[in-house]
Amino acid sequence: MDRLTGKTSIVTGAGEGIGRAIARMFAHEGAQVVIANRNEAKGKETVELIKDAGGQATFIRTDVTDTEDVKRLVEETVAIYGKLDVLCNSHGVYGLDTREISDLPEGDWDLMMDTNAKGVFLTTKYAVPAMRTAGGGSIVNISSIAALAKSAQPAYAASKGAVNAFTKGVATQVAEFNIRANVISPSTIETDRRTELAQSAQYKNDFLAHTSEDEAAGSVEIINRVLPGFGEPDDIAYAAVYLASDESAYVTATVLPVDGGTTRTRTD
Amino acid sequence: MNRLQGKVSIITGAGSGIGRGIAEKFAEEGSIVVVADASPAGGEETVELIRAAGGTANFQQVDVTKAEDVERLAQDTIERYGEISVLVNNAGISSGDTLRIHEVTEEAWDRIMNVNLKGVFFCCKYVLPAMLERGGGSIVNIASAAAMGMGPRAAYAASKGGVASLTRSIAFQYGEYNIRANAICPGPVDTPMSRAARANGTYKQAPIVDLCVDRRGEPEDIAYAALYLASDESKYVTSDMMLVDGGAMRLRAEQFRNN
Repeated sequence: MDRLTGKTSIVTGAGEGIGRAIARMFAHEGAQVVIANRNEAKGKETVELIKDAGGQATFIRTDVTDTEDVKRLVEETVAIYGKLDVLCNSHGVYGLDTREISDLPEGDWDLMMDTNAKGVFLTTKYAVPAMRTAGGGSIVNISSIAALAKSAQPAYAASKGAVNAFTKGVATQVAEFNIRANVISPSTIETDRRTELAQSAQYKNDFLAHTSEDEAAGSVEIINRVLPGFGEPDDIAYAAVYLASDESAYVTATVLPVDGGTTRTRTD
Repeated sequence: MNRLQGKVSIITGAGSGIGRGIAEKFAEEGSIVVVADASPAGGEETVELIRAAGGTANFQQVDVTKAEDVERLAQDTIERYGEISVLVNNAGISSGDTLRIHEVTEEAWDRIMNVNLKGVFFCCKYVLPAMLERGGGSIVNIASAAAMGMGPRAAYAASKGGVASLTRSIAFQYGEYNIRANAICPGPVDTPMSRAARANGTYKQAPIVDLCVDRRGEPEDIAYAALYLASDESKYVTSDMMLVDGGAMRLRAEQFRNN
């Protein structure tokens, strides 16, 4: 498989879940993958998984909310692999919203905005010059159905709404440099973190008190999904390969829902 | 390349332009391809191109506005290949549409609706039973960016808006049977049809074209999106309106919040 052969890619949040699946798929398709993650142990584990499968990957410890970290991430990527072609922002914090917005601590709001929204700004800010030098590139941002549908997690939804709007805006700015920017909009994806979260005491306390167990099991957006079952990390990874590769050369400033059909039935 | 290995795909309007691009790409990825077209000349040529590249294809002459033609298409495909896993509704026309809806004749309106919308209904109607029997499938409808925003040609835009709605409803009705339905909404693509429209002035004066990407699309751009939607890589994707439009629609993004 060679859909990304020769492409140097940074994947943030690649230490677990969706980010790890994307990193592995990118490597499988021939990309050199930089695993940008705050947690070193998990990030290095992803590198090992990729190397065991015969792929190329490097870990660079990165806190996406820290300008210096992000600047160094791009510099080191270019130093190691000579260029940067693909940036996939798949980091994010989730599950901090409380049932009542009045109970949401300001610090939790800030954490979600800093990580989910500002983190995308910072990686983009430093990646774009490197992509210009490379003659073009593709930015793939993992957002959420929360940005499109009605979500009972308003702070999280706001942070992801910012990602969607930011991506479209950046796409218009950087098109002249042959850089594309698109969003993938997943609904509930079966990851270890989601399972842990659904079983946590705080989550049960905040959501189950007001929601049926079935709804809460997948957060509220499960209700109108038309395909059976949850999505898997690979479902997002395949969409990311399409948007990262030259197959989508005529696609920019779009939002691609990978959500089992949830979004449209809700908005109808 | 084997992203569609083992699949049997029907592609309407596969005798030229976007349809031919999709047919060639699908065959390259291992699918058996049924090239359905009203024109034998174009359809046979597509089949020859596929066979010359080592693929498997056959031609079926089909007028998608005739129920009996479409029913026969489905029956013949089942008889020959045993199943239908993918349906790409690509057949479409725009001739007779003008930049002034009050100048569009009733005949032109009917013809555009019959080919672009009723044709999709017929193809889905006769292919869905085979997909139900098979336990799943993927329907890929070629709509248009005109369905999502300000289409300069009103009859064409209305027909494609109908395709978008039909797609979402089919996704809703058949999701539980593992049948997915999605639409691709192309922006400007360089095809014989769009060249003809530009030549006779029904396209050139369109007010909107404001691309991010510095070129017109090629059939292959649409083919790659169709490949993604036809394959199991998109097994969690249904009811999507996938824009492949060079970023043309960005200024009206808020009109269609799903895309």
